[in-house]
Amino acid sequence: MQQAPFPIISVEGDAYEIGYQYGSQCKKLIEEAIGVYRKLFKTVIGLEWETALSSSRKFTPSIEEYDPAGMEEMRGVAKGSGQAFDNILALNLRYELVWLKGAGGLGECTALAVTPEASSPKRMLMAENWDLQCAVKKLPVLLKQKRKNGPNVIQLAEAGVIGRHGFNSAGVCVVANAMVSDGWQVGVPMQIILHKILNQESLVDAMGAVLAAKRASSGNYLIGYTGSEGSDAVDIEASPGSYNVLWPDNGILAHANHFSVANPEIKDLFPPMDPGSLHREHRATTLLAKERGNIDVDAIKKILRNHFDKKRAWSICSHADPKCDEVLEWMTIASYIFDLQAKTMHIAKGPPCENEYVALTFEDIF
Amino acid sequence: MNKQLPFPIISVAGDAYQRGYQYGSQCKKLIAEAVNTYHKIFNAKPNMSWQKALRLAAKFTSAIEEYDPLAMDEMRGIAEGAEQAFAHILALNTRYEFLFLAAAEEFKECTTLAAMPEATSSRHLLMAENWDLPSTIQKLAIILKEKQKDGPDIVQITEAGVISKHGFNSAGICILGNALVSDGWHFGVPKQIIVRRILNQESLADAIKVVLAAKRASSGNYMIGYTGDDGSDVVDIEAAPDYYNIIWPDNGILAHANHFSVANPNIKDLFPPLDPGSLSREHRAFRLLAKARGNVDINTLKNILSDHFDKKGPSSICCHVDPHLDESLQWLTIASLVIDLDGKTMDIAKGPPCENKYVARTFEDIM
Repeated sequence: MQQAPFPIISVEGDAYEIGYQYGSQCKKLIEEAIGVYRKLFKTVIGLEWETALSSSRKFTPSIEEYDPAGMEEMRGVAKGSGQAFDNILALNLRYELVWLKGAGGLGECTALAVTPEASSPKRMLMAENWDLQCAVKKLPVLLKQKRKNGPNVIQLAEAGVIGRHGFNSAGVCVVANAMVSDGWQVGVPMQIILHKILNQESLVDAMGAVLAAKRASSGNYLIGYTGSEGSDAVDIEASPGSYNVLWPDNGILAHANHFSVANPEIKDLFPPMDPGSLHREHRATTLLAKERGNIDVDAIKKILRNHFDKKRAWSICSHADPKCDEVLEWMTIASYIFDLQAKTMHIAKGPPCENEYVALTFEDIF
Repeated sequence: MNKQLPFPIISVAGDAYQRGYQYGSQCKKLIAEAVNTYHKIFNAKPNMSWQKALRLAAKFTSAIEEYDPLAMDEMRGIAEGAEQAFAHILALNTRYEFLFLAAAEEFKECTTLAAMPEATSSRHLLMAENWDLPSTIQKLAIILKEKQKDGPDIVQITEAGVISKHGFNSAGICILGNALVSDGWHFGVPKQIIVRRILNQESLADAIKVVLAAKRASSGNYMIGYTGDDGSDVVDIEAAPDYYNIIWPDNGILAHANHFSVANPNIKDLFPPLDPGSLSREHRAFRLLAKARGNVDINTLKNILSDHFDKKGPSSICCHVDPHLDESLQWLTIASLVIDLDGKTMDIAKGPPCENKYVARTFEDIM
């Protein structure tokens, strides 16, 4: 196997154990993550770290009720990394804490799904450019979790975070996008919902993890599934109080950071901050549609390298302005494609136009 | 054709009261069992009980009397024939409203399909449904055939003591239904009474009117097909008590499960968070129908009704009980049916169709 572009953290056991091992193996990186977010909160939204901690604590009862295993895992991470629990909680709430204040995005993610009817060979493919502030680029780890109670999971997350983009041994895959609407509240944070999705063993159960949650924030959940009876993908555009469900259009689906379905209960606040979302999604859909029926991993790599809006933050392949501060400027920090049948993840660190993908398989735990 | 139908057949004839009386007296034991079964089901729910159901059911009578006096006569006949209190029969016929009003736990439910002549290989209108309910209700299902004095003949499958469910009539009308759960439920006309009145209609427009003009008590999905001299069509009405959406087939095909497919700001859909399986069942069924568009036949529909995309469990189109759950929460495809409106045939299986053979009958054979 080629060298992975991010550290691989292998953990095994029950929720607390996998958290503890994660924490102790990532001690330095978690400390660095706290430093990055301390600076990011302060610079971007003027939020003091201590205030972030006290805000985070309000979310614990909702998390405890929704996903007690997630709480256990975070407790393990805290213990293993020698950090106060609140610091780990705040990392897992960074999405809500940043966007609640309307951070004013300069980029954000683009996600794709291709079902077997549109791919060649016939595969369920899921992909994403994960775009974030440049300073976050050094934090992600590839978490390889051999779980005692549930499917085994491979995911990419910032050190200390327990739920992000990944796939599991039961055939469930999730990638996600930021969405910003009105109505955010204290409830279950997006990372915890992602954590629970990756514990599910069917498409329906994964959908249930989103729909039944008392959601704190808005977010887009693009979920794929492959099983013995076939494959499918579904996209849930969720706000705290409402949601839209989108299915692939003749086998293809692309999503960025705005609500694609008009819903009178949701006020979409994203496009005025980042109109790039509108055309990234449109561009990605158009490029996928052009190749419909013949889409393979290389075709998706090409789409993820697209610079329709020039080589800067608002393209699918997102580049930072090197003159700007690393906590203010956005870029593609990682790009990846999941092949659900081949149980393979193709992953590049940084903008994929200038970084090669590495193919990683996980036969040992899948 | 000579294989026995998998459910008891009850034959009745005459006016509404007479038909009800015959139904009641032929089904006396099964109706007593239905009363017992719902007694247990309601008493097991935190916000419901059999006594409460009887009390609430009485509040529907004036709306029913005004909307469909014949249905009242039929229920009176059933009570008399089955030697049950009228309140018991009324509660059985309003059980849909109570079952879902009281539902806080997860539930599964039906998937319905339609393929228009333009999408089928025989150029017949085909309609189909997996009827999913708590498994304890399976023993109550019967096939009811009615020769009406003042209206079309009817063949339907229902629960003992209940005056309607899924069926078709000699005028070319077919009605299949799905549970839908929204806010805004109130006293009014229960779903089963609306379905019964649909089965008395002789045109698609009349059948649509029966749904739209009712002061509806509950939400429900009504998939109505019609075949006549001037052609065939299918319409789907997603009805909430005070609002509705109308859906026509998409190039000849239509699938429906238990959520509102059309966004309507006046309707708050409560079903998907309780059963997200509805979303994937409908999508899956539609996709499988679309794949066969132009060549859909009875076997295509049987195959779709046997699909296990979400594993051999309760969230697939072909619904199997989850043995880990309490018996009252074990949902099951209790019957699966495919109706050919032009061929006037019904194929019916008892239990999940992946493991139970369909038996085919013509409308005339049954009558």
